Amino acid sequence: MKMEEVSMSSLDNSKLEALSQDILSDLVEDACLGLCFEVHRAVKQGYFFLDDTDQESMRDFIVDQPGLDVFGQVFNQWKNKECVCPNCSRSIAASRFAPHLEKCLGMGRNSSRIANRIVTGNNTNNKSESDQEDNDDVNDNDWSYGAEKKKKRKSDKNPNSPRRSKSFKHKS
Amino acid sequence: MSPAGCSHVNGYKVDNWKQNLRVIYQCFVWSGTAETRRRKVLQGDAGWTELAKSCICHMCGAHLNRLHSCLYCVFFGCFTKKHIHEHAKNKRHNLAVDLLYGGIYCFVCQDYIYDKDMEQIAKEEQRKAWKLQGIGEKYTTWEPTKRELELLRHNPKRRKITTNCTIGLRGLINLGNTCFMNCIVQALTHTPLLRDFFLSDRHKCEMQSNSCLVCEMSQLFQEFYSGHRSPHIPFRLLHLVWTHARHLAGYEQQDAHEFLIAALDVLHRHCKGDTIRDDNGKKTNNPNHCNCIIDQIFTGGLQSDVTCQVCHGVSTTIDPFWDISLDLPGSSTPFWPLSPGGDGSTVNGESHLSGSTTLTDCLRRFTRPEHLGSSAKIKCGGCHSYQESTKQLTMKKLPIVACFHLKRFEHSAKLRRKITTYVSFPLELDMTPFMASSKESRMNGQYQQSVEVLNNDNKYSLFAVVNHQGTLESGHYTSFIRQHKDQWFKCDDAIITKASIKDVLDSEGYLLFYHKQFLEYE
Repeated sequence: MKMEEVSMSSLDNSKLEALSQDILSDLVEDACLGLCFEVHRAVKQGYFFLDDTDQESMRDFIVDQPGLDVFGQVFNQWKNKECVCPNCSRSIAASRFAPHLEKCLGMGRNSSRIANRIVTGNNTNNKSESDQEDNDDVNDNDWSYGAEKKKKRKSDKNPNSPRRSKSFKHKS
Repeated sequence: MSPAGCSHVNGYKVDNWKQNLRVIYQCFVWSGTAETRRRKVLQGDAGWTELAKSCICHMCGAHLNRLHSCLYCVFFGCFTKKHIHEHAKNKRHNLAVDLLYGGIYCFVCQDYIYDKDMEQIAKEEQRKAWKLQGIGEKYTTWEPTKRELELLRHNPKRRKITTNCTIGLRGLINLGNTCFMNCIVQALTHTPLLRDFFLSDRHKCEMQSNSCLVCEMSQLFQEFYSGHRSPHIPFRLLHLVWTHARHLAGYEQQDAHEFLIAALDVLHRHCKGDTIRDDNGKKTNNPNHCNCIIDQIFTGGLQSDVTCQVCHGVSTTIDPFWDISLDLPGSSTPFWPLSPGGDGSTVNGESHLSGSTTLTDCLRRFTRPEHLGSSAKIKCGGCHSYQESTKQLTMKKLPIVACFHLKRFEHSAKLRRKITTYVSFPLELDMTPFMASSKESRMNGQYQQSVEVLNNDNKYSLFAVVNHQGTLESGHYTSFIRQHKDQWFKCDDAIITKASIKDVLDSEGYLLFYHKQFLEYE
């Protein structure tokens, strides 16, 4: 189509309509051409196959039904998971790993107390040590803010301090 | 020579071919706009301008019809009517360039060819033109290198992420009241920029031992995108965070917010291997100016202005932050009463049930000028004496991911309780009113113009919410995360279920994660 200068004012509505249709079809054609070039290049450069996916992954559709999670699984079936502690290499039930790790790393309030006692060679109070074992089991279940309230009568006055064991050391 | 190129270009690649090719691209391909043609006039390339205007087929005068320019001489011919083909045959000029998309056509091969050197030139000229036109950098899709193509061909198992697939979702086993950690992990694994960083393997570990938290994070993303439906057991993550953040012993570790800050801190420290190198190849290891992915995503700047009430001199400091902790009404610190329906409360489209506090209210309170009182006089540099002053906080620099922490847990000396006041938060948030720059223009008498609303830089979208149910003594953390733009999911340890936007916005809200809507290339 030859290019020519046209004065816009000389055109009536139907001519304008025709012009805009022409422009639109030109734009659409150019866009299609662009897409063709993209595909052509992808095929020639050898990366067109990248769009392929394996059939397996196309089966993971989101499930939205009561009683099921997004994978279509029933709730609460994951009861017996286990993991290996990176610190002591023992096999621990997953749901009890955190309390185990706390003692294993010597970070909890109770494990520090035991460790300190061993370090300072304080062996006088065997009885309280066995008490300590019982407390540990109680601790496993009391993993919440409220635990310290229940233990207040047994422990010293400052429940918020993670360094409670230090004051214990000073006591003896 | 690339496989997609052809041997026929060798005849062209002689003498000053690079410069000639550049000129062709500059004048006829990428500078088709009147703008650049005008610029050429100003630069004095009058000769080329004349030619630029004459971009029509030399044989039929058409200006469309897939016009091509001969690479060997000044000739334009249309492709559709094969005028360029005729020219090629007659003159034995075997190469032409498509003026619309810049592709090179070889008449001997009778196909478009892709030569590495020529494409390099074309790309550079295109970038220059974009810059001239004010477009700046444009997004271009990733293209694999030859080596990558080889690897991909040998590994055909591929996952395509469509809107309705579960890839990216995974439950997390509770290791013994570690729901606080699980929620933070869900928020982090659904932070788009962080996900992209790890999935494109950008972490180069420089730690000798096995205890790099960033590596573990990378592994976590692999687990989330593995397609496994069984929940993941994050025991290694817990071990690493506890060994690197010993202060989390005792009760403090129960707080999801505390865990988030500790985790970000350890990740930031372990990111040393990924710091950007400066021009001399030296690592910019300045701790105050770290450029690791954590800092790039989460670090913002908080400006604190202290104004002396006597001389009105202002002392300004800017501190980095990873999160904004907001006081709530009902806490022992007084909440400045704000009139509902005041300016800004409708900007963020929060559901304003009569009297309910909004996140915007909390932010306005956070950035209000605060009179420090006669008991807290500041030494004024201007007055050289202690004077009363006001202090005001504003955002100097916004992070890409803004985390808001609603201070629901009160731990004062006299009481410990949870504040359950409902705070409504929006899906989209505009931080413009809280910026230091906005404050400056307000002070200069320029009230918020409508132009501010068009400023996309400060617009954020909600993508994760961490909630706490229960009391201070015993509670449970769950989270909502967003995927595929408009899909929300509830994460309750090992159970992931679909959620509605209403579920999310009606929830109490403890930690709110917002992501910048528009990111500019630097």
